[in-house]
Amino acid sequence: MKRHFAAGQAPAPVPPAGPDAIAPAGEAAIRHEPPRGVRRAVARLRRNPLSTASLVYLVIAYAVAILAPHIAPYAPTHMDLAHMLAPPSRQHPLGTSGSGYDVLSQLIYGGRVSLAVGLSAVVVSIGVGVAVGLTTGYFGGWTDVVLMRVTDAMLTIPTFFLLLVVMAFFGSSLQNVILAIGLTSWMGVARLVRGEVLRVKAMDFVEAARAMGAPPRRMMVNHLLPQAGPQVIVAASLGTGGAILAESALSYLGLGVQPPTPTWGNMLTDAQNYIWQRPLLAFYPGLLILLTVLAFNFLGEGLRDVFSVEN
Amino acid sequence: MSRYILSRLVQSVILLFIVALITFALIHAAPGGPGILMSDQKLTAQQMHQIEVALGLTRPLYIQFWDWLVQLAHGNLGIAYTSDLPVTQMIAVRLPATLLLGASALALSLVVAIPVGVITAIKPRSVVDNITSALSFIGVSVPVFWLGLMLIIVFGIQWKVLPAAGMYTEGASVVSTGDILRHLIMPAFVLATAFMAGFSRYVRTSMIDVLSQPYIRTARSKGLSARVVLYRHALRNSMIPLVTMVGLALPLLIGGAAITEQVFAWPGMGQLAVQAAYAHDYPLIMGITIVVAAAVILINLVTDLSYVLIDPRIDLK
Repeated sequence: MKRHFAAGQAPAPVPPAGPDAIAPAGEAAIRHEPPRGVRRAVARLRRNPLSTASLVYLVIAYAVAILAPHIAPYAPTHMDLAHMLAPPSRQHPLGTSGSGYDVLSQLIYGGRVSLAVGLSAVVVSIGVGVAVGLTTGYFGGWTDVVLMRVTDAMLTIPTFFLLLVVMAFFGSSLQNVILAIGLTSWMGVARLVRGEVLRVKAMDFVEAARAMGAPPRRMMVNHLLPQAGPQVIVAASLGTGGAILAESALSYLGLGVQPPTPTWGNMLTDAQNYIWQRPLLAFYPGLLILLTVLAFNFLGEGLRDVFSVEN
Repeated sequence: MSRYILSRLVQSVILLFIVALITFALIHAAPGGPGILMSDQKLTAQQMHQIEVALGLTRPLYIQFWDWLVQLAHGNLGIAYTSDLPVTQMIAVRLPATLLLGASALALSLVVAIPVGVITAIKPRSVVDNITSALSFIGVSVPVFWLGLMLIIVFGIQWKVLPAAGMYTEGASVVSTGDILRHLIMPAFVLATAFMAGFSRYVRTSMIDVLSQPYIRTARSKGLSARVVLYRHALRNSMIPLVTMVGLALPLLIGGAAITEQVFAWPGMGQLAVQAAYAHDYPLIMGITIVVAAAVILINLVTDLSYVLIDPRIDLK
């Protein structure tokens, strides 16, 4: 509905399609098809080969991670004590690690942590960022001053040191890794959403909604947030890449998820002990981190193009 | 002018206070609190309590915080648990190595990024532009520690052309500049990678923007050579936002330096921070965090003030 006002059209003659309809869902929803806007966006994304390839890669990576127990040749904790540090063979396609773990299986299971942490941490950071951005932008005044000073302070602290503090003093469980990364990376999103709110706050459709007596929460969630939607989606994609890098760095330093649960980061730590004998052991996990982060970055840039063409 | 400087100074002090508050709150909110270090050892509850009393950990939190702030204002960061040395002294020993690494990486990234950004801005969508664009995507996506390990394998182990770790050759009687430089090459390059990529994209965007401005057309129509227009008119103006970018990138640079130091056994402050984290040495890690944040705030303050000198268009309100 709000889009109609924004586009300067007369209020549509149909009754409100439902309290929370944001996208131009109305008629399309009845025909059970994706709305035209989404279809156009997908079509545009598909014209960008790198973004398409990235999307395909990510779908496969997540599928492999979810189906790990069915795909991996060995359990992640299975130690082949007779073949430690073995070269690739039919039994172990990528060889074994110094402790006799099957490298291929470890890579498959290791992806679970990275991919899960990436997405969950971004959910946390987007949640906090959107909340801070909406409240500061909408209310202004002291709320704005105080919260934005905290945001500035968070941007000033090298967040990596905050991560160190959190992991060292709160312990390195999966949950802590997710929270720590999420809570140290929301500042960009907060600034982005705040800027967008300030931009659209004075627009006619917001005035109209206010005149109709919409309470602050509804104003923010239904009217202001959708305007920042595309930018938030782009930030989420780029942010997932960043979160995966942060997780792997923590794991590599031994402050993230602990062995025997394999992660791409802690596999590297272990492989570092054998770089003289088996340098390739250090190559695989890093390559997967690189490809995954690259895919999220390409996807994010592709989405940015899609949305910027639309506006 | 002096009002602007004063208000920026006050802002910086407030920022530093918030940073101190966040760091302090975080450590004291942790399960077990700062006393957790002692719980690793086999101590009775009574001994544990005695240690906490001796360290002042049983006093009310606001008093501890106030006390810490007062000491901080005097430049005293406390005594490290793990070494019994003053934190300031430990940091002072490690600081030069980190400064050397960070400054070299920053310089290297700018030396590469500015020309690359300019060249790609002159001919957007050219072959060179596409290649550097792909490289910069890889640059921002590659895990620092992995890139470091790969370089160590290739240059340090396979080809043996560069030292694999440390800041100087162990056991050498005299530490020569050349020796340190040889050790510096790989870590500085690894740390610089992500920033080369980010900065060159930034220079490119801002150059493209500046090149479309009317005053560039004016300069060209006056008959100035392409070189003069490019370097004297366009580059200078597109450098201004880059200064802000560098300021914003500093926390990332220092964080990256910590990981790089760990990979290359570079004896800097980042390595110290990681060790402090392993050992739960809370005065040490708190001190490092504060020092680093203060440095970032100070550098940002200086860049903001220097703007006023560089660019007369900047409004002081």
